[in-house]
Amino acid sequence: MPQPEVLEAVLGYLRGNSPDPDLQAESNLEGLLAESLALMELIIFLEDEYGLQFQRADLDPENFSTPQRIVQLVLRKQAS
Amino acid sequence: MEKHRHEVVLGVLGALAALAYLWTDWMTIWAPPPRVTEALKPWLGPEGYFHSGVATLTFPGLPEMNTQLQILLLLTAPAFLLSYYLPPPRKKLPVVMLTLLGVGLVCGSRALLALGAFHLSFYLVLHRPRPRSGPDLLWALALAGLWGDLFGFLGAALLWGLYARGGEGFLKGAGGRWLGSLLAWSPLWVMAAGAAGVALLGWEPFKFSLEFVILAWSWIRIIWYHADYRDGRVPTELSLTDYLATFFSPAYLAALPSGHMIGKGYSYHSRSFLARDKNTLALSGLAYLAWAFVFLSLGPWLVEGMAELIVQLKVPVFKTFDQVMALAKLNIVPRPLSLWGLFLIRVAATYFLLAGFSHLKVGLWRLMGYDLEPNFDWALLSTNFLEFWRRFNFYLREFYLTVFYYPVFLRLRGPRWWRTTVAIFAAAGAGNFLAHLVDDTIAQGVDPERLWANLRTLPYYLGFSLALTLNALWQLRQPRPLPKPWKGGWKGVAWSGLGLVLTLSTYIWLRFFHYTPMYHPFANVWKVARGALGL
Repeated sequence: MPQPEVLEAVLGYLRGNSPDPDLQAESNLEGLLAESLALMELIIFLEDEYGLQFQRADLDPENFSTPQRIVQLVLRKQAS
Repeated sequence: MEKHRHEVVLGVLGALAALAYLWTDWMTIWAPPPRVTEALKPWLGPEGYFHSGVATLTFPGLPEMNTQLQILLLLTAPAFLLSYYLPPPRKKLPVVMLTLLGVGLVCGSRALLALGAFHLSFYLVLHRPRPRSGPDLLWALALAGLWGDLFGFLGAALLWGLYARGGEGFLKGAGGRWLGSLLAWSPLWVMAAGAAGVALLGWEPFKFSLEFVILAWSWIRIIWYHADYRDGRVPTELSLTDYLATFFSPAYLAALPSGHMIGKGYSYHSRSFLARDKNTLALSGLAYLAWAFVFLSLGPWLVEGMAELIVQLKVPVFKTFDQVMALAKLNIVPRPLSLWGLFLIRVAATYFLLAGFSHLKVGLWRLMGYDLEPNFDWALLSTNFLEFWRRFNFYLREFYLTVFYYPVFLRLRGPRWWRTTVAIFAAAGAGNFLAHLVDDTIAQGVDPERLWANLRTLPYYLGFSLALTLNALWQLRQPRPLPKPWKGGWKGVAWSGLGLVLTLSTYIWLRFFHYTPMYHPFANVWKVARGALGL
């Protein structure tokens, strides 16, 4: 799937689950995904949306620091 | 370019001197004027200085607590000065060396040797020493020269050999991975083998040696480091100093039996090192030390005050569970309010003690330039149970998440409620129980009666997991994110207040099933539990 579409889907999910409806690709997600429940919900969304399977190593905070980083992780997982 | 601020340095040295004075017999040697002593009397211990409860490592031959504290605070001062003034690449080495010197002074050279031998083996299995690394050469010489015995010499020779070969890997492939796991989880194997020997083969119950205890009390941190390593978050080529710096700062020496309490694996410590300006970090470290003093030294006084307040409300109060359980044995169960008062007092006392240790350790890490997050972060004011767990023992919870929750959640398939429930029970139930079992066994020794006493606390872990699961499933059904307590007008505040009371009640109720079944028969525990509910 092309990067802009993945970014749009990720932003759509995050905007619906964040107090900031204007989240951008480089917005800092530190506070939003600090809680394990929120992080696992995002993982379920990505699993369902893109048929991916995540490992603990993928949960590096760096991978979830911005929407753009999440997109990069998805694209990396799709390519591997 | 780092900016030195001498007023910050003076503030830190002054605070360390003040703690050394207030927490040790220096306060009686250089006693304040009698008028001041008289005014401070309600807060002072019977020895004439403030209660600290910081160093509780009691083994035959060890210096008394007073001396342990003086060693800690006297070594922290040069460690801070060197880490503050040296350039960033050179900051870690003196901190690690001074901390290990402290371990040697407090626990003796054999314990230091055991600790060093373990870490050296673990390091060499996982890593290649960085080529042309001066500090690694220094470590090799220190091992050979300072310890001068067989293991120290062999370790030094091995390290020297690797260094001279330009950093060849020690063990590669499956063998290395297997050996790494074996070493990382070694305290667990030792405990399990001991328990099996006592329970199945009829060995005599035994206590672990100080050497093993010193090593084992970092077991959670070591497993965490290994998890990081397996996830590819630790560079293969790493200096011994960088490896040891993950574990050893003066915070390790503070409240030694809680050695594993603060910190995570390599990546977290590496990321947090000088993550902010060193002056800001040092000042925040000072604030943590101040809170540690409040919790540890004024906490017992606050608990006494709570007890008196409850008495003034015409509710007879008990100060220990043992008093109530002795009555339960005689079929006398106090009124519900008395029991709830007792539960509250015991939870507050435990909270002050653990929060005190934690704040001291976080403060000391911050003085050394590590931006570590708080532990016991006003947890008793949480408005839901999940938030309570996050704010309570933050680092232990993070360990359960990393080692139990995430692997289970990610492996499971099925609806999210199912994955959430099983993962929570794996982390807060199984993982939590295992961690407490190991800690208790290491502290008390392997004894079938002790193991049985620990098994009797299982209802606490199941109840704790159930409370978290119900909270998580409720939260999954809410529009996210949950509003802040102060938003949403009076209704929001009222709901938050109710949430706070429910959260605290759930915890102190559950905690009762953690304290008491260890020492008292279940029949009496349930009798008192029913009494607290007025049944």
